[in-house]
Amino acid sequence: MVKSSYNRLHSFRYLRLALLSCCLQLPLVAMADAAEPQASPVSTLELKQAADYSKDGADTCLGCHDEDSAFPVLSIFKTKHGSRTDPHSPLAQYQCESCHGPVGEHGKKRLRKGENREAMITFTRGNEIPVAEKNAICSSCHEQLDKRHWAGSSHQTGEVACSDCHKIHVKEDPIRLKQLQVQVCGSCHQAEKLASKRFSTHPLEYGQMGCTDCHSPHGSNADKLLVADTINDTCFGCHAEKRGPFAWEHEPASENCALCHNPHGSNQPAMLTQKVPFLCQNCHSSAGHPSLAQDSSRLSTPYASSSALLLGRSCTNCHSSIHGSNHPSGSRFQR
Amino acid sequence: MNKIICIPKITVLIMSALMLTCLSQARAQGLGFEGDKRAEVKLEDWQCEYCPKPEVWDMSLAVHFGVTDEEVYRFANYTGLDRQSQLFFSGDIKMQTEDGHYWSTHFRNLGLDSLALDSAYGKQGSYRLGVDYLAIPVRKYAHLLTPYSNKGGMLQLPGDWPTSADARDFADLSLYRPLATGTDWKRLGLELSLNEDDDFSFDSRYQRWHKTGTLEYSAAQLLNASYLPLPVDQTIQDLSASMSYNRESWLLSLSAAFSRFDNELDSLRFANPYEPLAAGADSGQLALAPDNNALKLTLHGQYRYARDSFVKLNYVFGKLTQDQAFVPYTDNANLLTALPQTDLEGKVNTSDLTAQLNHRWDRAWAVRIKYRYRERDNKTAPLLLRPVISDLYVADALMTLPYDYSTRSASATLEYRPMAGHLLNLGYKNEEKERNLQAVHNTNEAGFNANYAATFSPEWMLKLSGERLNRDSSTPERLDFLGVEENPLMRRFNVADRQQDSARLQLFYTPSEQVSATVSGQYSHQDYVASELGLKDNKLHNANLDLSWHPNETFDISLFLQQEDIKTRLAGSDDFSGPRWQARNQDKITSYGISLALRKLLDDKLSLFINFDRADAHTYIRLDQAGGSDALPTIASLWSHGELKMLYQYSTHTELSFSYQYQAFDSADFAIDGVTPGSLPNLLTFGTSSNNYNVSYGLVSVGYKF
Repeated sequence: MVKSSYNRLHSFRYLRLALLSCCLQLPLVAMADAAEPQASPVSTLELKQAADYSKDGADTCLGCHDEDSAFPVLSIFKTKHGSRTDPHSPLAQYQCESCHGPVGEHGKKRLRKGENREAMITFTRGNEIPVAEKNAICSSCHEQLDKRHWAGSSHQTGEVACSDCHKIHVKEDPIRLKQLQVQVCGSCHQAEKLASKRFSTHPLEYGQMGCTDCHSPHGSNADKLLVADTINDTCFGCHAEKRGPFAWEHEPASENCALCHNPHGSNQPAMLTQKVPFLCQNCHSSAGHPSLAQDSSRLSTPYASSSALLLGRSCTNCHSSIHGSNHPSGSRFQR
Repeated sequence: MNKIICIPKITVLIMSALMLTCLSQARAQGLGFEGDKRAEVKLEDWQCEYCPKPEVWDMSLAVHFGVTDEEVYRFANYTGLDRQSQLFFSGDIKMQTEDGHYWSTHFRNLGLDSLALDSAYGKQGSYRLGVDYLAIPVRKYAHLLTPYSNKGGMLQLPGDWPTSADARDFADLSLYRPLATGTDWKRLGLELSLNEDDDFSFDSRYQRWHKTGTLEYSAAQLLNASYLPLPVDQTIQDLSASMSYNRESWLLSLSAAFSRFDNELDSLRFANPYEPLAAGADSGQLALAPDNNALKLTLHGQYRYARDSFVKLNYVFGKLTQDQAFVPYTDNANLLTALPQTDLEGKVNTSDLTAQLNHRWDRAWAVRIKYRYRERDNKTAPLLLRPVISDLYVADALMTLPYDYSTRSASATLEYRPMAGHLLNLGYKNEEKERNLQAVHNTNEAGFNANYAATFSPEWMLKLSGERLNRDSSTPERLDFLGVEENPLMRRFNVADRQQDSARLQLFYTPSEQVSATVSGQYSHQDYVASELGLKDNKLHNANLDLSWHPNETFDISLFLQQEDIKTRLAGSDDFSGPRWQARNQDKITSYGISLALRKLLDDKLSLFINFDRADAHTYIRLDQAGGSDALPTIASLWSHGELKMLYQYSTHTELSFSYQYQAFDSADFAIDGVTPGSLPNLLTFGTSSNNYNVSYGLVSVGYKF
């Protein structure tokens, strides 16, 4: 009976795989069509290399790019990038052309019929300008950040552009607001974004925490771009009560919190990766109660004396100091 | 455990070869784009006459009045909306002068337990002084019951408590008092940054977390256990400072961070609700989280010899200490013996050395090599202690086990760009871990990974990645000093032989500025190939879809859908032999939602937002054993959230908003449902600790922009 339903499931799996591969092929076919080489004899960067700078700087640009244009830009003047007094700011240097390159023919007032306006250096995702070149423009000012963190980070080597996450022509860059970080980061990290909607999560949805409380998206010395050097050091930033060292250490707790917890969110209490007692039984099979199968008979009265092994807080009904104990008699994490 | 840092020979060879290559490179090239004609620009003519003059003051204030229906405790988790009606405020004040000085203050939820405030004063490009405050209300369970009352650090039972060996005799609810559990987290932060000098920067931060409240805890009395309301009063103070010096190709930085944890309640005594199983075992004492200190010093250096080529070195030294006074072995005066020392004198040194080299030959080819050595060297002297189990009897002497860990990892990745918009990375990594005092001393994990990113056009982007890792572990040793004998066939999953495969796909489709779609999927499988007992395998797959359509500035709609499936298989043995039972656990979670926005209605004054999310989760547990197959009741939870929000621009300065939210959590969990005081013979519980709630919330706000 079990076997036949397993086989049925198996056959569904092949059907699902077949459907999935068909679905995947459709966009790939479409992509192949879209990937036909576009006629672009001179790249924007090459074009801009030899182009003339404007005569009037930002005034040239703002003649068209006011709040009613397709690309409104005036909000930048409410931000650091729009400060003319800070010598580090682009507006205090080559103004708009610090980042977008020399205006060249882009500012031409009249275009012939069918003529396209000359492109500027823009930061739209997926355009013809290589990500590294776009990022280098930002790094020309943010050099320390680039050197210390960004260079070699997984985001840098994974072709993430600064402008994929940051918006600078707005009054407030959304990613700098913690309550919006899950949305911005979640545009690529979809699984992590949706984990934040589960029963047991950190307060990401409400903005008290943001992704950047644990991750340093510009790069870090640690794996997964963590803000601290290890997973445990990151967790101890807020949960220092579990830092110890304890007289009696629970070795997985001092090695890696993520062995038992999923910090992005879980369907189990305390963001556990699995239902207890089964999570504990993954590692404990000593003689006696740790090795007992916690089946449905433990739910009924004849076996009720064992129910505390399965019900309530399960193993932690007794072993409550599971992260480590500093009690001289805490060898079993019961005190 | 001071180990000689051992770098694999192959890594040394590659790094040496690349270092030689580095020396032959030109100096670091400049970053950014510089047109050929930049020198011709007459900046003095660029008057920026059309540039908006900065407003010196920019202020806004919003007054909110919210009304909820009855059951709000769990809804207040993180939101602080814990009363049936609340008045609270949010606002911004910004000041900036033409010489670059600024002052900004933002606050939200003033009047709620979830207040967030930050304020900064400084000069653009020169310095910044900041202060921030954050309160997080964590609300767990509203309707618990406990017979315990905290009197002077002792959890006492009512005078007429029916002491018994069986918890089913504790069913008289008049002996219990209501209890709500949760904690309030409050953080105060102070910051100072200096960055006037292009080459030098300094950042420092002090922060203080304070947590107060009551949590659920428990204590064992050998065959029985009782739930205890645990008072919480903890403080974490962190002070950190870092300075960096940046010169063309070089960057050097030095950081220091100190953290102190203080627990106002270092121990808690409690009355034993059960009939003592030994004379004198009328009460017990818990040792709570001990005060501790952590210090870290980090030295970081980098030399960049070409635009995308550099060498980085990072060294971190850390120290953890803990000298909280021990509590006595037991509360039972009949079993009290002297401790060998008054506190643990806990000391742990950590060190972390990373060397990284990135070298780019040309636009198409680059290589990245990273080596890291981490060590947790527990300097705490092992102590021979004679634990008193549950205040009942003295167990055999046991040695404390100060665990050490050391990890050496090395990785090399080759990057290849066959054409513009296409990127292929092929990598190899190896991680070797050593542990002391554990059955498995060494694990060695190695494998290959690949990822491919392609931008076919501005419309289509694809990212694919895959990895295969194999972990081998040393032969487990029998540990005689544990006090508990483990089944020799058990392999703990964090040290067991393992084969791990994972793959990820992301597809981004943006046919126009108005439409975007993202499809992603992830698969991972961890196969514990040599484990007869313990975790056998773990599979995860998820599929995600995000769609958004924004045809014009008056309308947008977005949808998301995710399904995640996590399956684990565990083998156990109840007779200390080979596998006798198997537990299959499946977590299946489906999340979906829709957001709709309609703007510029009613003469461009009204905007309407509709949002609905739902997360539907099920946990299925099946046990297979000789007697047949058996399923535990399905654990289910359904979280729903709907919101309708209207914004009306009453005048240039005034905005009115109204929102209605509905939020509900509905769960079924055999472990907590129906577990009332007196329902189990060996567990004094808090009663049914369900998280279910169902809340409607209305909010009216008036915002004024000065």
